[in-house]
Amino acid sequence: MSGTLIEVQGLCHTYMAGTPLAQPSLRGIELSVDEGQVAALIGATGSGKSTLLQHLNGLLRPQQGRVWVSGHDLGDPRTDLRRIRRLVGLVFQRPEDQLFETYVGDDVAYGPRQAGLRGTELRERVRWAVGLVGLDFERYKDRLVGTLSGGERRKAGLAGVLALRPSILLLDEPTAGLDPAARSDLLAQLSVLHQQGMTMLIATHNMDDVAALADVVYVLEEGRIALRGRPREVFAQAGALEALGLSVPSVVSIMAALRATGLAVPLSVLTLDEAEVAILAAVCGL
Amino acid sequence: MPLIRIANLTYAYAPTASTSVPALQGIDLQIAAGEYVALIGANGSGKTTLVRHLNALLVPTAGDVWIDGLNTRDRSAVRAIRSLVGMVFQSPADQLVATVVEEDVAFGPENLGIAEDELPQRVRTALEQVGMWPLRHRPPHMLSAGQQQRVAIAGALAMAPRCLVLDEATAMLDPAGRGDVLRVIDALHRDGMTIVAITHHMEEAVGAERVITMHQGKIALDGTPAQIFTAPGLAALGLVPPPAVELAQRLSRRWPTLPPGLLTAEALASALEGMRA
Amino acid sequence: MEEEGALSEFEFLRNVTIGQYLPTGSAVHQLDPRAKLAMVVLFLAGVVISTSLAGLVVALAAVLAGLALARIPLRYALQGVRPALPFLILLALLQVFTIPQNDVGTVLWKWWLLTVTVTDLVAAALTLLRFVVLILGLSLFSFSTNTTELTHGTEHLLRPLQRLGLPAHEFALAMTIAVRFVPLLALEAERIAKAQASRGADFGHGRGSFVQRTLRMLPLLVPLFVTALRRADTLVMAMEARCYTGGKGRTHLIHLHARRADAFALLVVLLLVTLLLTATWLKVDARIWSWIL
Repeated sequence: MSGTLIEVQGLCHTYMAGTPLAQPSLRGIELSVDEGQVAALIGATGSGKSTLLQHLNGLLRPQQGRVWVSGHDLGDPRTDLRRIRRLVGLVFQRPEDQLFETYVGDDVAYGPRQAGLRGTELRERVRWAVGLVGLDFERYKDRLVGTLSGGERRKAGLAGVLALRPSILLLDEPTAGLDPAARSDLLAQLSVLHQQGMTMLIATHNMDDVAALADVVYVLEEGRIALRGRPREVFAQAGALEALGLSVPSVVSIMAALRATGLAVPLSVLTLDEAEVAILAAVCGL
Repeated sequence: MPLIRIANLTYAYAPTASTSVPALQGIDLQIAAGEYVALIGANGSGKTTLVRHLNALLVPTAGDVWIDGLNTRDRSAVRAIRSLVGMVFQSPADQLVATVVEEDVAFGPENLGIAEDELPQRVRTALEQVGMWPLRHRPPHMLSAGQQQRVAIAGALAMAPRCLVLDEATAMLDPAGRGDVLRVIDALHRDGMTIVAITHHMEEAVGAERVITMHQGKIALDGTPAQIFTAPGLAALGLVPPPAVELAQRLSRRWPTLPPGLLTAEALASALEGMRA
Repeated sequence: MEEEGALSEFEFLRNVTIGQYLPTGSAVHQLDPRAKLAMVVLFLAGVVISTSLAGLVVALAAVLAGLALARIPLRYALQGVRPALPFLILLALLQVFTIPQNDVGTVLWKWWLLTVTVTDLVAAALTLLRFVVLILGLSLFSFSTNTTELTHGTEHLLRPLQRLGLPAHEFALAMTIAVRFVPLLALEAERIAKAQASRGADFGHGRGSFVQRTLRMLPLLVPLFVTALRRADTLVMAMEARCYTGGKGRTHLIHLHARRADAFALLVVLLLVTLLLTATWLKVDARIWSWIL
C-alpha cells in the first residue's frame, strides 16, 4: 500500500530576503508524491524548479509553509538533516561536475564513507551502486575519472548519490547535454529504478523525458504550480503549455500538426507506438 | 572554388604517443559558400575536432585545410581565416568577455583594428541581426542563456564572416532559447551565410540542407536529411532519427503510397491529407 | 537562478557594501572614471597621512556631502562601517588606556595602572575618524562607479604606458574577466558545495588541523578548480577565435570624454587634500585647542 512520501504545503521562498535585491522564487507550492511514483516538475528557466528540489533534502529551509518528507518535518530545527540526506538523494545538474577523486570507485564511495561505512560493507555498497547505473564494477572501479566519456561520468555522478541508498531520488535536468545514445541509456536506467520501487522527482524542460517516465506532472510558472495532472492530460493542453514558454513531447506536437490538417487524432499520446495506432485508426475512419 | 576544402585531414592530439588513435582519419570534405551543413555523430566521433580546424584553432597533423583558398598552416593567414569563419561555442557565458553587451560585440572588430568610425555601425548591425540591439547596454549576467548565446553570435557576426560554425550552440538552452537561436541562424542562412552546425538535436539537423555523420574520426554518411535519416545502419552510428521521420517510416510500411523522405510533422500531415483525398 | 544567465543569491554578499554598485544616476555617478580614480587615490593618501583631527573632521564632512550628492542613503553607507566597528572600538580603547610614554598632556583620570590623558583621547578619536572616513570614501567610490567604468578608467589611465611596453589592455582585460567570472565561480562553488552536502559532506567549520581542514575541502576545491580551468580554456579559445593577440594594434569602441565637471571635482578634492596636509604641517589642532581652552 503506497502512502504519501513527499508533502509540500504553501511553500514560499524569496531570494536574498531582506535586501534590496530580494526576489520571490516560490509562491505557495502545493504538491504531494506517493511512494513509488515518478513526478515530473516542468517549467522554464527561473520558474523555481531547482529551488523547490533543494527544499526537499533540507538544503533550503522553508521560509513559509511546510515540507514533509517520509514523515519528517523539514521546517523543524530539530530534524536531523544528515539523516534526511541519506533518505533523499539529490542529483544536481551535471553531476559529473562534482567528481573530485582520481578513481571512480573512490568517488562513488565518498557518500557512504561519510555515512560511516567501512571495509567490505563499503566495497559492496559501491559495487551495488555502480551496477545500478549499468557500469561494470570490476572494470570501472579503478578507472581514472578523467578517462571516462561524458555519459559514463554522468553515471558515475549518479552512482555517487545512489550509493547512499536513498528511497527518494531528486533529479535536476538529468539528460541535459547528453548525446542521444547516452540519453536513452540513462532513461532506461531510471526506468529500471522506477520499476524497483524508487520514488523520483525529476525537474526538466525536456518533454520527451517526461513522456517516457512520469506518473504525474507539475508545471511551474514563476514559482507557482500552473498545471498538474497525469502526463496525457497535461500535454493535451498544448496551447496552455506554449503560452508558458514550454514545448510538448515530440509525439504530441506531431499529433497537433496532424490535427491542424483536419485529421481526427487525439493529443493524449505518449509514445510512437500509440501515435501509429491513433493515426491508423483516424485514417481508416474508425 | 569551394569556401572550405579539406583534403586527407588527419589529426592526433598526442602524435608521439604510441597508443594514440587519431581523432580524425583521412577526412575529405568540401563545403560550398551558402551551404547549411549539420554535423552529427556520437560523442567522441570527432565533430568538435573537425570544426576547430575550420578556423585554425587546430592545425592538421597530416593533410590540409583551405578556407577560401588560404591554407590553415600558414600562420600569416590566421587572422584572415578567423575573420572569414566565426565560431560560437556551447557555453554561452564562457565566450563573453566584456561586462556590457555592446562592448563584447565590439571585441572582435577591435582586435582586427577596424577603424573607429566604423566600429559603432558594425556593432549595431550585428546586434540587430540577432535581435539584441535594445539590450545593448545590459551586462551579460542579466541575460538569459538564449540571449547570451545570441550576443555571442553577434560577436562573431561583427567580424563580417562568410561562414558561421556553431559547436552545439543550443545544447545548454531551454526550448524557448533554442527556438530564438535557430530562428537567427535560419535568417542568416537565407541571407547567404554558410552554416556548419554541430548538434545532438535531430530536429535541427532536419532543417539543414546537408547532413554529415561522423563515426570514430571518419565521415560515415554525407547527404540530404532525407537520405541520412532513412539510411539503414543509423543505429550502429549511435544515432536515432527524429520522431516525425520514424513515424513516417513506420506508416510508409503500411501505406507504400506515402512519399518517401518525409522529415517533419507538417510534411507528414500534408502527405496523409493527400493520401486520404 | 538555477541556471547561468540570471544572477543568483549570494547570502554572504548581503552585508558587504564595499564593492557594491548603487545606480542612482546622480552627478557623481556621471563623473569620468579616470577623475574618480584619481580622486579616490588622492583622498585616501591625504586621509592616511594626515594627523590633524580638524582636518579629518572636514574630510568627514566632505565625504558625507559626497554621499548626499550621490543620493546614497546614509544609513546604507554606514552599514559598511558596522563589520569593522568592534575592531575599531577595541583599538580606540587600547589607545585610551595605555600607559603614557612621555608625560604629555593633561591627565583626566587615573586608576591603578590605567591613565587617560587628553592626548590618548585625541589619538583614539583620530584613529576612529580616519577609519570611518576611509571606509566611507571607498564606499562612495564603489557606489558610484560600476566595474565597467572602473576597467575603462584604469585602461585609459594606463594607456600612455602602453607605449613604454606596459600591457595596459591585457591588464584591463584581466580585470574585466575577473570581475565577470568571480560571481559565476562563486555560484559554481555554491552549487558544488550543495551537491557535496547532499552526499553527506561535512566542511568542518574550522575543526582540526590545517591539513585536515584542507582535505575536507577537497570535494569542493577540486571540482571548482577543474571547472574554472575548463571555463578558462573555452574563454581562451573564444578569444583566439575572435583574433585577440594582445593590446597592440587594437582600436576602441568606447572613449572617455572628460568634462568641466570632472576637472572641477578633481580640483575640490585636491583642495581638500591640501587642507589636510597643511593642517597637519601647521599643527592646526594645537592652535584650535589653545583657542578653545
